[in-house]
Amino acid sequence: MFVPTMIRVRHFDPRRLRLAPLFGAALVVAAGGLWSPILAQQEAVEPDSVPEVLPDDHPLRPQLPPRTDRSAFEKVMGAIGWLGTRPFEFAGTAMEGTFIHIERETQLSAGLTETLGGPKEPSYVSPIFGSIGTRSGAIGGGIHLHNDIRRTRGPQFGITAAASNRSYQLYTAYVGWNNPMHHPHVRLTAFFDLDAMDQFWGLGPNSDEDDESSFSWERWGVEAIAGMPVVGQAARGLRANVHGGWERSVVWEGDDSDQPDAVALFPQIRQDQVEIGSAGAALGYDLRNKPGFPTSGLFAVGSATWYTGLDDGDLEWLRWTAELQGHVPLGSDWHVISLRATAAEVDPRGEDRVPFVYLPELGGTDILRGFDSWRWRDRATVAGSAELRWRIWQEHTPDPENAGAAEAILFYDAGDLDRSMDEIDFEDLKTSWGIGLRLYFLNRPVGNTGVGFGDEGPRFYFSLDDPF
Amino acid sequence: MLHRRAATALALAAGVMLAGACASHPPRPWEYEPRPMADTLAIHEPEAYEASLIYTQVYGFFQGLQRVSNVNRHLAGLPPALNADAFDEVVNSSWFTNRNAYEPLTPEEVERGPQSDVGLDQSGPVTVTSIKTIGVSKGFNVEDARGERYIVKLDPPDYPELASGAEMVATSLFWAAGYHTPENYVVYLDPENLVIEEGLEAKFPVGDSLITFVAEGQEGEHELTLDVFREHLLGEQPRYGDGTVRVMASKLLDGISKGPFSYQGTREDDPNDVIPHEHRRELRGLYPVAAWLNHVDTKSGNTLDMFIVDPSSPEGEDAPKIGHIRHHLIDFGSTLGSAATRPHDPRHGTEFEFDARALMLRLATLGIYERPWQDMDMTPDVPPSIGYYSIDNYFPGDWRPGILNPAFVNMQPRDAYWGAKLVMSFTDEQLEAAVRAGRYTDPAAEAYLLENLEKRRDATGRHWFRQVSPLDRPRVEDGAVVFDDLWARHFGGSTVYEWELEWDAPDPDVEGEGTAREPRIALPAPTRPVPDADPDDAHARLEVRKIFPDGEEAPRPATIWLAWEEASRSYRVVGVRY
Repeated sequence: MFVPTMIRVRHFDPRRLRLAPLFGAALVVAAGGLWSPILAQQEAVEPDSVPEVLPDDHPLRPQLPPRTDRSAFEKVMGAIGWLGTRPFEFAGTAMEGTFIHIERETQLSAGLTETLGGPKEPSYVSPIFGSIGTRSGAIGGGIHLHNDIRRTRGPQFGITAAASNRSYQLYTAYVGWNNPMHHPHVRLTAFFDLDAMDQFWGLGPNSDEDDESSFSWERWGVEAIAGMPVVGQAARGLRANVHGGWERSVVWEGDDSDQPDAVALFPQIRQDQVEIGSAGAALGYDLRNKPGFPTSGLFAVGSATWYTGLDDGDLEWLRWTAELQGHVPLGSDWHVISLRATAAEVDPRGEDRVPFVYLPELGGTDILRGFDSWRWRDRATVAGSAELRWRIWQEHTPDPENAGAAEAILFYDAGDLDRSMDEIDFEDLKTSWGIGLRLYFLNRPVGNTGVGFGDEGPRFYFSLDDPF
Repeated sequence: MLHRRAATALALAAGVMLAGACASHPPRPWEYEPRPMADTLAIHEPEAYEASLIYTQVYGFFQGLQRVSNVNRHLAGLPPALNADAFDEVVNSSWFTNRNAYEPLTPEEVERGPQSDVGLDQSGPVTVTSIKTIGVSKGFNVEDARGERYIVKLDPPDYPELASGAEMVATSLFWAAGYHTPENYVVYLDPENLVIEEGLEAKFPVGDSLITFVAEGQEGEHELTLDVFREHLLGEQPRYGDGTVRVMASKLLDGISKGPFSYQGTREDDPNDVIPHEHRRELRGLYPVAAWLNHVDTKSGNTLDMFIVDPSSPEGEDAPKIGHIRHHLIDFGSTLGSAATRPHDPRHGTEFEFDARALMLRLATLGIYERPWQDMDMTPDVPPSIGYYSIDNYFPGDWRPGILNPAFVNMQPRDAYWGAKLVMSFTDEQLEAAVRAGRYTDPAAEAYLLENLEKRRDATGRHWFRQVSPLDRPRVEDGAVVFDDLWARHFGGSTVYEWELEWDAPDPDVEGEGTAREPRIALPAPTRPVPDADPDDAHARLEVRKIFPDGEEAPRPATIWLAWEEASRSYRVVGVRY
């Protein structure tokens, strides 16, 4: 709840590339569409009215030296090489036209950071790309209609529609005051979210990887938040918010014919439609030098949210989370050791139930990266990560403080979960390690990918989320 | 099974393409001699080109892969420059005019550079005809009292004289070296003397937004008045005592703009353009000059092809025209210590903006691999009007422009030697004159720039002259082959050479070898008449290898081709390769 990310991006699974050819074709068509106006500008010269000049092959024209020293074999191979490069030449020509068009419209050639950071034309439509939703599809896209996106103060409003190749759908509409990235703000968001989830293994620390099953989750409602800056380029210091919401939520069988239905396999997770209200608060203190791209400093944050079933007397719980981060530069910003510890728990009132979709989880792009997203679920989780980050590229811009960068990471994750914090076995933690790459622009992460190794084999991940 | 077949077919196709790529650069004959000025024959007016920086970078990446995978390139070496003449020089062309290295210019000529008159005429109103407010640097176009048109560029407000000074000095030196450049002028512009062209539109940032202003536009539009123009374009610029603003005015080039040229391939619509640009000596040899002057922005976008209309073309604006293309280097705002909008820092010139090699090395070594600039102060204490331009951190053979330049990638020691000769052709007096062209107001800044120009010049020469035997202009005098030892001329030291004479023809049977202690080698003459036989047999080959003062041999000899003239019983130099 602390970071109300509406467009979430989770790990990449190649099996979900069902619509990849369609998207590829769409990209080609789009490229052709951009290029064709440029071609159309090239008007043919009227041949009859052009003065005479020496023909191109006239002996007085400059000529390349004769290549008499080539053997027949070299000539044949040279011809094959020439033919082999033609497709690249053709594709290159098409690409250049498209890039020229893009650069002309966006002035990208001025430098990514300078372009992204400078004043822009008012734009009220933003495309959404990438994998969207929680395990909801590898390829997705949508559209975001909004008021002037550069406006950091004053009224904010917009609507979003997005879908993926796994039937994931997301629709939101929001109104608010001030941009949450920069200033104290309020925002009211209505949402409809349909997830077709194909990876559920049951609850608890001993769930079996062979029990993978699928389910669907639909929810709609509204949420409200009032707070101080929470993400991005916000200043260091206190972060806080109060939040509340109302939603209807329903879980039913999954639509993946290759996997068993989670509800059938785990009858205890069956959840008819429920109506849930929530209210809570979060408080954090940020001493990182750059919150979106930290290379030094500490960050501590905690949140508590109370949930209650509005039409079901058996649903009521408190969920709390805590996180502590530390970043230590090794001589310079080019090498950083980053550490993080997290904990989360839901505490039901008495014998009340907690629908499993609201339980804390481990695994995925953020924590225990050697396991699938949401691989582990239970009422209490703890986890820690250690990363060695070393920068491998830095954008060369007039503003080094906001320069884009790419960094490589070597990470080690450990964590566990159980019915309560007291029952977690700290001597038998689940662990994973791996390597990854991150790309930052304007002190924000724009890409995060890598491979993690755990007990269940290697796991590739890709996300646009904030890494810690 | 189907997948296996497809994979096999794919592997075969990849193999054949790789093999084809390997055979795509066979050796070229050295005898080729281009026709002087042949590339200015009349052609039909071509289309204007546009260049994409992103495309250049993306395509350059694939070109790099092709280069790496081209085994033949590694085994047989890079293809030579295709327009080097018999004496390893270039003839004057639409790309280059031999100037200072051929016949020294006077310091006054160097200071004046390409200027043909006094520059922007402010005796009458100067009309602003277009405005550039977005992008890396701001500027605007004007038309002066005489109807001449100029592009006006502004210095970064916090660094007066930085970009304009660098552009002036670099323009003089690139022009004097032989490249075609625009006429640039430092101008003290009177803001009160400007007028805005009717209907002119401009977008200025107001807060977080961009607002469109229109000169004498319709009601409801933001009006582009002179005050608005001065506030947004000149408001932050420092004023001189008389209220003027220092700017750099670049006179529009003669002819019709046809867009930038590429540093790779040729223009398909120009029959005069047959030498792939990455194999042109002038462009490969630009590397040492660019390194010397820290011209990190040697991208296609900073070049311009102009169509020079032939006088015999039909008159009339829409009439089809004939003429030829002249190729220019433009925009030297990112040279010396200037990065156009800010001073250069120590990273400039040491690493590509996206340097795949450095990136991979850092990745593989957990970041232990570091470039020198990573440990340097990025805001060193240097004159603000000059920026960081220093002999420190300058490695002539390891200098890097911002983006990969295909001509530089194909450069060979011969090409670099040619370029280094251009660099070393400038005397201290000429450099002092070039610095004067920058019109700096701070004598200490001038001295700093001059000192580092001289030091970097010498470092460039020392590096590239060591890659060959720098024995220039070989000729026959009094029956002996003599040459100018450029190392000895510029850096002194002993003059020792090992030489070897070969003549493949059986009849003359003249061979020999020896050591010379002066730049003069007396050769044995044939004892029998040389028959008019196969032209390949008519040339003797003299290889002369420089022994540097520290005792090291030059890695490559200068190969001098000699023809025997029976009538005068003497040799004649017909060619040289370094």
